[in-house]
Amino acid sequence: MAWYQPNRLEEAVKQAADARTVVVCGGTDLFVNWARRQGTYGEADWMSVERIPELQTISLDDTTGDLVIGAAVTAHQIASHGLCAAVPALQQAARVVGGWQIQNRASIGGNLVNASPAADMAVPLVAYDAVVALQSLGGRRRMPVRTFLRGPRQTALEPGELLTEVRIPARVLGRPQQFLRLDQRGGTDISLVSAAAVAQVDEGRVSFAQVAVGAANPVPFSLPEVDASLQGLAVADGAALRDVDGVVASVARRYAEAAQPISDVRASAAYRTAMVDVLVRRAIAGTLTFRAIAQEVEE
Amino acid sequence: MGDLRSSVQVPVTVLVNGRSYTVDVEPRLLLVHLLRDVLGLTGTHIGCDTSQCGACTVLVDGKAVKSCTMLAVQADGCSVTTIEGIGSVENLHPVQEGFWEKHGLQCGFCTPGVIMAAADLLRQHPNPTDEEIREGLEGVICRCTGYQNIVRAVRYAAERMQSADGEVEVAATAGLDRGEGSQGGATS
Ligand SMILES: Cc1cc2nc3c(=O)[nH]c(=O)nc-3n(C[C@H](O)[C@H](O)[C@H](O)COP(=O)(O)OP(=O)(O)OC[C@H]3O[C@@H](n4cnc5c(N)ncnc54)[C@H](O)[C@@H]3O)c2cc1C
Ligand code: FES
Ligand code: FES
Repeated sequence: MAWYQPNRLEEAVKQAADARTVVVCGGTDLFVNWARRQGTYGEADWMSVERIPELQTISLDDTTGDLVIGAAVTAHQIASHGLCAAVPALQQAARVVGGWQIQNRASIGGNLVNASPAADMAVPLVAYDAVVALQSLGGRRRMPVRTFLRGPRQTALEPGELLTEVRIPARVLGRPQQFLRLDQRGGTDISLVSAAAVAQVDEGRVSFAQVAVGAANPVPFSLPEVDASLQGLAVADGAALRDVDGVVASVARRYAEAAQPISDVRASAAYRTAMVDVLVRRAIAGTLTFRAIAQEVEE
Repeated sequence: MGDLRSSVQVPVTVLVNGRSYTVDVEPRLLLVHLLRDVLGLTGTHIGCDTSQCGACTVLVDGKAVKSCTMLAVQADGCSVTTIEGIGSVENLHPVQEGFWEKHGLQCGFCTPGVIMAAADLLRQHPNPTDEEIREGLEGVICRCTGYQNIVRAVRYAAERMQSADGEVEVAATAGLDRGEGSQGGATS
């Protein structure tokens, strides 16, 4: 067992090509219950990507305006960085990843590659239709988070590939958005069900709406064809939840119908399904009425 | 652990409570075991094997982390503060004083971790609301005192640090922060 902690991306990519290499960032998924689990890694060589400057930055792409977050950026940095104020739903998700001690170590890249059905930061990223960049000796490719996540602990990451960045499209930055999570014990628990919504109302009509649901399917999921039914929905200034309730309720119901949650010690499948309905409704309604409410406050 | 091939040793340099150590460790050694078994700093406790209890919380470069979920090699080049380094019997850290004054502990098992988590909390929110204290301490579990007195203890420390400002030396935060990222901006 060896330990590598390169400071340069090229070096890391080269080391990742070795089949014995296991990538680690914060280690908050890898090293839990370590005394018992370390045997499963046998002769692996470990490589930390935590200290690679390219993976540590948060920036705006000059040409596209996308928000680019390096794979090693921590939940704490997302929650506190000025540029991330444009993605409040992601900040809300970052703020519920474990407690503060975990947020100080947990990386956005690790959250995606670990591919837990309950991964929190993954949920707004799916709602945003964010894109990951994957790099190997063979080059660099990009794909939507929606297709990167394949199943519990399964991703499209090929051997030898590193996740280098997460790119959040300019079109969702600063738009009304919300992440909601249901859990039993806050910081030491994981999510029972979560939902994220991002939407825009222009001249009293919904011009943009994207939703995602977490912990209710093998991967966080979205239903773009269902989201489309929100397009054009009239949301008058000062609209309240009840004004948009009909259409929103039907969207929420269709998300609940598409959910196939598991039953476990935390909750039954039936309860989770019922909560998908509630959380999606609240997330969309909260997002759509956000502007109206914000205007009321201004007046 | 026993049946694993004894593997390479990697040199690790850490500044623990202001003192520099360079030791050869196996990569798989957890930071908490470096602190307790190699350096003999047993004030940092292990209370679970699921990374939930927070008894093992220490500050790495000023930030609270669970030392049971981090390898010693991951702390290479970092500054680590444990409960032994945050204050002394003659000169308690305000958080330690708060736990004393407000009865923030009973058995004391969780206390080293709670104090370190509280030190990071107060670095980020020098004047926290009770809700912020509770949120900041979500990653620690106390099984006997109850959280009311812990919140009171942290509030006491906050007031003490505000009023004493400058007079009390705050070991936990002095010079350890790498100062990366902006602390302001969006909270919750
Ligand atoms: C007490 C506790 C509570 C938690 N609560 C939550 C919670 O509420 N919500 C939640 O979503 N998560 C939670 N987690 C899980 C974990 O903290 C997050 O998933 C975190 O984001 C993982 O990041 P990491 O850097 O620690 O990953 P690591 O453990 O370092 O790595 C995780 C996986 O990703 C791979 N990997 C990491 N970075 C890269 C990269 N750049 N390229 C390729 N592969 C990579 C690793 O090989 C590994 O397979 C919790 C964990 C603990 C210990
Ligand atoms: S020992 Fe319980 S969280 Fe580290
Ligand atoms: S004081 Fe006993 S567990 Fe907290």
